[in-house]
Amino acid sequence: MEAGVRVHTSAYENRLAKAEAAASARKLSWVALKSDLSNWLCYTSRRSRRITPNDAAPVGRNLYNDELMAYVCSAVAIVSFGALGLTYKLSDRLGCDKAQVNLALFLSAGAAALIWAAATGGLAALGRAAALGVAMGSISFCNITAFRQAAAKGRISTSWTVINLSLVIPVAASVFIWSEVPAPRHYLGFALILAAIALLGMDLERARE
Amino acid sequence: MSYRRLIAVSFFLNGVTMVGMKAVSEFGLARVTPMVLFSMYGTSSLLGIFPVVAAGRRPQRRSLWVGAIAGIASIAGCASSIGAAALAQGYVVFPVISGGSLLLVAVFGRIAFGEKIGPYGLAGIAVGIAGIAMLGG
Repeated sequence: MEAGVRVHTSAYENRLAKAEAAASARKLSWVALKSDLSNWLCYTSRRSRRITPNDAAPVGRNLYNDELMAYVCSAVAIVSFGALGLTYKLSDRLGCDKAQVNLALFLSAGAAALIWAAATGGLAALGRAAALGVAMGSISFCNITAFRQAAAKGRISTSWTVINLSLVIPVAASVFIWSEVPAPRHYLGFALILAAIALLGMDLERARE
Repeated sequence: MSYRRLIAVSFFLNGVTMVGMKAVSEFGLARVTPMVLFSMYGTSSLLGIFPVVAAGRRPQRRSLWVGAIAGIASIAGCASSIGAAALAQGYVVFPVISGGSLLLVAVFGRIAFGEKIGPYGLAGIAVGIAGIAMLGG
């Protein structure tokens, strides 16, 4: 065996090597369509193993700081979506009109995004960005409409639980579309999250009875 | 449309929305996240006018204020989710964010609104914390 050549002995490492090879192949097929920076962003998002400070990083980037920033972004997202959930609870207690609350939500968020885009010079970025945004906005509106009608016909606790369990879809997309390889502990953590959602839903149903 | 079909549609569309957040970075659009979010919320705003007009109610000041606060929280959450999905694996980011925000709502719902948390809720919070630790550790 040559020095420096690593032999993948475990099944997990074999899958890891295959996933990284698939990601590299996919990256090469995107080179003709995207700028160098876009390609680099796609590559860093397809990391399928834990990054340590000893890992070699692309020039100008520290992948270890990327992971720290991911934790920071996740924490901000948790607090923000938690605040959003509490705001919806507040609107229920105040007897607010749901359609007006949603419209005010979309308008205020859209205004904030417009100010952000203008401040960062991103207003000129039309094309794919706008197309993806329009698609996501249409899907989001249809989702809210369907959920409101479902909640009106059935139990809000059951509806809420089912909606929160929909995180299996982006997780499945990450694994099967973008070739991410979870470790065994990630599967266990994911199962615990699903169990937690189900338990919270059962608690909500008991509280309403 | 029956309840089952409606909830199935909502389940699928909610999941696809989260896939879209991951797709922002996968399509190389992470640098123009503000434009993506402006397009998303702008489209939802245009479509959201119709239910308000159809209901025919007078605008409520408290509804507009609560909605405005929710909008700021929503865009902060979406932008942070897109950033996290660009920097880490999707199978970690989405469960951590979804589970963490639900736990936060459960705990602060008890503190702010005096909502009681039963044994299932306490078990759910404990299991959720363990799950987040398992994913993020």
